[in-house]
Amino acid sequence: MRGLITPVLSIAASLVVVGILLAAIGINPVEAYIAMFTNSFTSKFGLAELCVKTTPLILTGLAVAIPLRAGLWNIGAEGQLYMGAFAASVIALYSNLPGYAMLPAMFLTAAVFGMAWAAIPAVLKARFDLNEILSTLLLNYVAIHWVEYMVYGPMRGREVYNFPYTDLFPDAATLPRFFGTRFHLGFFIAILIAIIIYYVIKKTHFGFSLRIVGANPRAAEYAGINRQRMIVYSMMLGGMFAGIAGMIEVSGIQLRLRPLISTGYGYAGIPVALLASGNPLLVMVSATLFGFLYVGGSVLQTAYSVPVAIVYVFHSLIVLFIIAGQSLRRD
Amino acid sequence: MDTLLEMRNIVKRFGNLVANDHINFEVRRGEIHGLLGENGAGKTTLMNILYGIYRPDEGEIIFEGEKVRFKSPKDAISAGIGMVHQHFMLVPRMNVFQNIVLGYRTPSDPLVNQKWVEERVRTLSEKYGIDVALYEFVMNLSVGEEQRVEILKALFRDVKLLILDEPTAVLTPQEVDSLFYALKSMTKSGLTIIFITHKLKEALKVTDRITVLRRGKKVGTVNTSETNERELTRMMVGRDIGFYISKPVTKYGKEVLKVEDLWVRDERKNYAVKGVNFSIREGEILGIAGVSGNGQRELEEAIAGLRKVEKGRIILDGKEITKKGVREREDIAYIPEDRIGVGLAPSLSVLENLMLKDFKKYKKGFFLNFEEMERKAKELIEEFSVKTPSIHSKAGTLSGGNIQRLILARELSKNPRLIIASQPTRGLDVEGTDYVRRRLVDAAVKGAAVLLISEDLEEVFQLADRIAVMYEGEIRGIMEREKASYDKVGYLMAGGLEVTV
Amino acid sequence: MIDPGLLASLLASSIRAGTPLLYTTLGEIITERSGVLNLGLEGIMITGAFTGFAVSLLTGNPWLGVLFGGIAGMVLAFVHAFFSITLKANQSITGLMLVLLGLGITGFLGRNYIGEVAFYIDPVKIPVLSDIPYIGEILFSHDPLAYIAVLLAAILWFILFRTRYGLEIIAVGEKPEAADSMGVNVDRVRYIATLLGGFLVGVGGAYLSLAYAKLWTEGMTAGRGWICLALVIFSGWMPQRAVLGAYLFGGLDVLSFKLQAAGVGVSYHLMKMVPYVVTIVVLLFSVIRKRVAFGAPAALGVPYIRGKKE
Repeated sequence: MRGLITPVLSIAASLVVVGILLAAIGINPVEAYIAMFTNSFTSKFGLAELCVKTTPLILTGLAVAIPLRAGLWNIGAEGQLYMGAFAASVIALYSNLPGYAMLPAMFLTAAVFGMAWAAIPAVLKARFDLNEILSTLLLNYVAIHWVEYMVYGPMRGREVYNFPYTDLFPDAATLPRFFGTRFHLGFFIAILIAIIIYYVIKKTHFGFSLRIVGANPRAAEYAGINRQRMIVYSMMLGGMFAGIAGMIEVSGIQLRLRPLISTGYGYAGIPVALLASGNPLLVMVSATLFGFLYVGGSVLQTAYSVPVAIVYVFHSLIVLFIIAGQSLRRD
Repeated sequence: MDTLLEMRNIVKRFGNLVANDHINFEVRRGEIHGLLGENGAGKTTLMNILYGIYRPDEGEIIFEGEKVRFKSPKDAISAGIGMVHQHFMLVPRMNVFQNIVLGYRTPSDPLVNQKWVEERVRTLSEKYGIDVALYEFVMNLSVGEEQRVEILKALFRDVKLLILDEPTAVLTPQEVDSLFYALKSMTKSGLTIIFITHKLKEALKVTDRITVLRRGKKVGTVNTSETNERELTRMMVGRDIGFYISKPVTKYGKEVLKVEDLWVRDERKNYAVKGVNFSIREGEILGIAGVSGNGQRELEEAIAGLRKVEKGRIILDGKEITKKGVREREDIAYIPEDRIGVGLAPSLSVLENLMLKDFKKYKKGFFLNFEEMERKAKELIEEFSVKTPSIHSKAGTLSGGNIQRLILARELSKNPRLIIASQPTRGLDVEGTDYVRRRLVDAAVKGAAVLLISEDLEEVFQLADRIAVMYEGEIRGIMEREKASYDKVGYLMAGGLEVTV
Repeated sequence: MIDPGLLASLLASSIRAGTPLLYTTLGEIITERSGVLNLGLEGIMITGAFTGFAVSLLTGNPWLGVLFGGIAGMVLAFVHAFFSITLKANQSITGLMLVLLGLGITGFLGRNYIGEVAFYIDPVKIPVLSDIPYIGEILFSHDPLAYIAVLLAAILWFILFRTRYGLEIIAVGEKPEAADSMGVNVDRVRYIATLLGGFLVGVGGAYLSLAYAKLWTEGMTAGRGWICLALVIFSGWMPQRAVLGAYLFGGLDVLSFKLQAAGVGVSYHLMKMVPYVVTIVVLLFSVIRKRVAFGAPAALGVPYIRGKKE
């Protein structure tokens, strides 16, 4: 229970600061927060949107959390997500696979591409001790520009009036939706993955080794664990989750590939993971919270014309407060 | 003969440890005053308080007749106190000139007046016979040269009192002579020097008076000309009456560990272990006594497989393991000096820590057999009396004694052939200490070979069959316990070469 | 043959494009020399850009805008300094969050400013000198801030290598224990270096909106903050080399833009990738060659704790 104080206070403090910002431009924060809340939880569409936003956040949260358990920062979830989306899109548009094989193939290639994209900084860290925070971050930009290049160029659709989009995916390549809303299968996939990885960490010897490396690298050395290997494996696992998130977004929501498939979901994974202290089950909970913030951000945008950028403010503040809390607790 | 410095009733605590226990220390102007004692005696702490790095919990400092309170080294420097630390405080990528002038306001401040500095350094060099290459980068200097820079730094600032912390630890014999010559000429010019050391011979050679500290307390102050090695040893090492766990003399079995001409480097790339030879048989406890920092850590890590061996061999049960990794040294139990560092993952649970090395044995496909592991863990904490609310509590929340029991449980439960126990009872209470010692003796009686590395002479004398002393990376004498005495061993620990006491 | 007029125009543009990079890089050099790693440059730059723009619009004075852009940068840098120096938290994560915070706040507050027209800083033609063919255009027809940037580089060099202050900053970044034992207040030096650095980064951002692009848009820094991090390494933490590096990178930026406008082959988007790849390569290079040889302050990114036992 003690571990809850810092996260809760951090959220509260962030709400206060953002409230002040809102007030500064003439919006009543209490009124705005209430609107955010009611919108998410009181209508079918609201709840559906909440799940829609939560889905990628669970996966990017895991993408950050798993390497974090091994003591590494994966800031590259955004780029890994884009690469996964790219890979899935290629399969969807050009592979001509039979219907039943389409989604699984997209899933697998997205996972592989995400893994590969994360492997680069992982190896650089393991072999050269290159700061993974910087390398994963910089690769994000490369991935985003790569996708831009693709949709402005080789992959541009034929029926899109010169917009930088690909064509719409064939039906076989889209995730089924429910309840007449945008709520799609991806939600369940994400939850399933979170539960599986929870058991992997808790019950397998890989998970055990991972936890030791993250807890005390020297003790891990003494325990005979190969640290380099753990670094690479954990990062690649993280990349895999983010890549899957990319696949889910394009096949569940966007239904095509385009430049802005993610509004910072990858970066949002950081506060999601921190809030959950790296625990996959808790990641589902904190992802929901951040999903709520995203939906709320949309509400603020439509109802009060507040730019979506406000969400980034939330994210950064929460992380900063958590870090401050942890530092103060340390002393 | 006036008193330059008086430290009255100084008390300094770090948590439960009392590093300085009501120490009264007084230094006269113009003398070289030695501060002698083993590691942990409190010498460096006392001087760090004087230099403003620590604040005393109780007591006061009177310098040049006035009460002073130093909040940081800056204050100490302003008052005229300089310190040459054990680990040099030089910036490697700056040159000697820059290091000397760092923080100093030359006449053209904030500009740095090069000529002025050069002139002043030249004067000081001539006066004290201390030569330095002013524009050489510090990282290219030898250790002796670095030390000269450190001393010049202090002289440059017109110090009245210079503190040197274990200055000869890194010098060659010739460099030591040069240093002593320089120190004597400094005092002739009115400078006062405090010389911290654990080396008897040196203290006797260069000081005017010596103050001995032991376990945080001052034992006494003597005039150097009126004392000798024997008396100093006795003051440093003392004669404590403790519990007696006599180790039954067992029949020793075959050789378990053999260390041949071992050379191991430390982090600074210098040799910390220099050609060490010894062997241990089944049922035998070899106690290595010595002040911490003489190569023990490097030795134990090399044998445990955590540190590379430059030269020499390590042979376990007839098989050479010198180049093997930790995983191939399964029959070696290691109870490290640095418990929280290497021995434990504080944020993981007791269960996880107990299973740290062995978890691979419980593999069930991809999974781990947690039921088995938990069962074994419960057995272990029962057997080794580890007090913990549950096996799932975080290991870091355990008390020091219980952490040590946890480590013992983990290490001893595998029936190892060799046990390396390094400072195993440091920081433990009476009960914990007793328990650990008993278990080590038990393990030996059951046929393991035990390498005990300890600063605690009493402990070594109680447990060991044979006693060796480690000093500056070498083994100085191995003797049967019956033939050893506190005096002999203490003397060797402080650098003595022949056993003439 | 290359048209000299075109070349002159390109070089002149390189200087203009490189100036915001130069301010930011110089600022981060000061900060990193003292041992503090501030990854938040992108966020601080954009905050400076927005604040400068807004203040200029509201007061009618672009110079006030520049000043407040710098101050805004300093405020964000203070947050970073507090977390890094006082709380001794992970500097990389804190810096990163500043990027998010900066982008978030400016995106949020800047909504209503997009499309507005503020008061800008215009180029000044130095009498006589600017009439020299070609050279005049390249060197003598810039706005005052561009000249100040170069002057600043010279001043910074002087302070670092010829004064006691500079010696203290370098020592604090190399081996804080040594500086501390000589009576230097490590924390204070780091705070000052970080705040000063933040101010310059903010000015760099203000230059973007008030002198270079002469407009405000969300996210207009477009990755320049990250490039400056690479520039700091590229310049070996030396102010004089930063000048060269900034103009070089500025030139590359201008070149890629012009090529795209001319419809030349290589996709604009692929070219946008180049700075990031180059940054990774530079980083890798500096790590492989071992930081010592390459010049990174030895204590960079490591919080200082007095009396810490080894």
